[in-house]
Amino acid sequence: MISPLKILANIQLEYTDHIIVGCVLLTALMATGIPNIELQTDFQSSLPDTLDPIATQDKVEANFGSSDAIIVLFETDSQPIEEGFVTDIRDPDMIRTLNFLENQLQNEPSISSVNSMASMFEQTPDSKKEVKNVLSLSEASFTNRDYTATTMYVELNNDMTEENIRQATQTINQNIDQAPKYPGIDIQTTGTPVMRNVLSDVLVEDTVKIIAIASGLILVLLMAVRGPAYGAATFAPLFLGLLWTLGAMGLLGIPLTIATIALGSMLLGLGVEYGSFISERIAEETKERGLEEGITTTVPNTGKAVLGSSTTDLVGFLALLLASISFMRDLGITLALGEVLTLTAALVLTPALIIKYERWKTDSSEKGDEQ
Amino acid sequence: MNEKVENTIDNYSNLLFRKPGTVLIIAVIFTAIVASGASNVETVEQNQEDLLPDSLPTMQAFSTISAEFSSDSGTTYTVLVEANPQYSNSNEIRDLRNPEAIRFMRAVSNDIESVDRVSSVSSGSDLFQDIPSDKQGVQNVFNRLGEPRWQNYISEDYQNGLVRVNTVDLTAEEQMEMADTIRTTVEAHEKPSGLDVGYTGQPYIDEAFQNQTNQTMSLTGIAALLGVIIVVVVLFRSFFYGATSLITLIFGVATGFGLFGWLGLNMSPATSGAITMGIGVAIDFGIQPIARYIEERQQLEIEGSVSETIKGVITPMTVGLIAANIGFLSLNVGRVTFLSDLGTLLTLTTTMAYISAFTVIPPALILYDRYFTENGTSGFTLSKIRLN
Repeated sequence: MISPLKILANIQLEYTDHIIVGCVLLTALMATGIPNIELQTDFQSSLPDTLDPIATQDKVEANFGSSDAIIVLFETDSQPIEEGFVTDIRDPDMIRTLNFLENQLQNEPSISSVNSMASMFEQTPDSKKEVKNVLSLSEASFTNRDYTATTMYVELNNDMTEENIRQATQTINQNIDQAPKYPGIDIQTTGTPVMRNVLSDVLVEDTVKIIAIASGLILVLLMAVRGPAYGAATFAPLFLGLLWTLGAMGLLGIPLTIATIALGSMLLGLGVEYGSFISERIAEETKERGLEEGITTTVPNTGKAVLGSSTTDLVGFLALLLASISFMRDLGITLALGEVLTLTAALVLTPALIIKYERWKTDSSEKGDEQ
Repeated sequence: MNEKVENTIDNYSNLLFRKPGTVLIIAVIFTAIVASGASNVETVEQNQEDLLPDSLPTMQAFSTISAEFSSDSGTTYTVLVEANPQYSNSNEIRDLRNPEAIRFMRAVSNDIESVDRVSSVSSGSDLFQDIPSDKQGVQNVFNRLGEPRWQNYISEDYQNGLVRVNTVDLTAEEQMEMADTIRTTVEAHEKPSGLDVGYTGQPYIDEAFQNQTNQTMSLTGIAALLGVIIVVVVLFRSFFYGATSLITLIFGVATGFGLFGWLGLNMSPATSGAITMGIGVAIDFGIQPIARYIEERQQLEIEGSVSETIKGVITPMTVGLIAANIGFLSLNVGRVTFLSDLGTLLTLTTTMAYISAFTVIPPALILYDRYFTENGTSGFTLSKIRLN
């Protein structure tokens, strides 16, 4: 019986162009999924709901609301940079800013409650002394010890999803921009929900940066070791395999999490081996036996060894499906998917690109000889 | 491959052929020493704020709040008291307006308040100066206080009540100890029938995370190892070759993890999958030389096969190693803090697996071929194992 890999080698020799065009079209199709990749930054949601502390937390939030609020930090510098700067948060100008912001935010439909020391003032005070008097009546600590900082707590009406938090933070920042500005007051949003948003942004930026740097360096390495043509023929399928994986994540709804952020570099690091073994063996066999025999020897032999080693990788990754932490399961699925796709790309496309290149080289030299 | 490299490989193959046992023993001793560093590796908790660098404005603001505002720098523990009667027509507590439930909350609150380093405790029982003797009395107090006040501690349907415990300036370890102390203190009280008690808050969630991470690492590590053993034995159709390919995995993961420990690095929930990933990566380096050796042995004697195997796989494996390490080390450019640890662990595992593929696998193959095949070098009984 002819092995499937031998059949693949024959198809690669006969339908080289079709394979290359097919891979390009597949890339275009899969690329449409990339913008749909979801981000998941809520650490707690990755634990099973049945765990006691999580089940209890869910009950507490259902009955008493979420304890996670967006915090707006108002800071002054106790050493004035210029005359007239606000240096103490008990300055009436600070209360004016807080009051304005609190009133504005309370009218926002996405916000359920706003709490700051402004709530204690029915009218804007005229002097610092008046502010001090009002604050002394409250047991709650709205200020830090040296009166250079105060906070405003903003709770949301909607669930703390990535999108809701992002919109609410945007709303708060827009209102901050519209609030009366007094020199010496710095305003910054923070709190766990905002940190989740920042983490989302950093995840995306890091993923792009890591993939770009790793890709560039690996391409340079492959070109240096194998020469420009074989280096590119080894790298291109690897990169396409990575794009297919990212596209599949978007199309299948697998989120990008803190665990899957390393996906790009993992797949580049693992996948490069497959293409590397295949192109090395093709070069070796082609030199001794010619292109056709080089392909029909390499694809079944090296293909089988590569399939074997990738199956072990696959088993390792699929073992992560047994994890109780959901982002580890996502990592397992994503890596397994990426493994299959980068392997397919290396096995199918790398030999096709080398065949195309070798034939082009032969044609060019024949034409050169004729001329 | 230039002549100098080929000669070096020939000499190295000759050394392996002459002294396979010595090379193997040295490798085992080296592995045992390095792997002992794995005992230094701990699983540490990880919060959202641990993932981002302190230089970001959001993180700076969060640090300021934690440092400057005492109420935000502390840790809050929540004890949820829930009415959960099991039988109808019983005397069990059916809602938290029952004075017995309020008394339970007060007793628990008082005891927790006396625990060292607890800064404040608040609960539904704080709403009462003297606890009324009946449900109607409790309801009257609620009516007088108004919903916004009592609903801070008692849910609208009277089924759930809160005891909030605040502490200040506890280290991560002390937070975990405090979580246990609170649980023990509550459980020291006889719980009125019909009431359930649950515990939550960041320390309890962190503890759950840590437990799940440890379980995940053990379970997925064992499952990956078993799965890989089955695959390699089926792939080579030989228990020996399958087991030998696992050597890179065992040596690679053990020494990689050991070095990770010697470097003083720790595991976290986000890096808990690294062992499973490391197993996948390391085994690759075991399979390639064995597959090639089996091919070469069909035509050559042991020494020649070892030499040709190393020459055949060293370039693609070295390229693979460098490329893989480029991928893993590029994780260091990310701003998410744990990525560099993950990159370091994977780099160490992969590099050690690569080293063991050239130092441990060849002597193991030589010893097996020399002493365990039927006719020694002249009768290679496993030559029937072909890859194509």
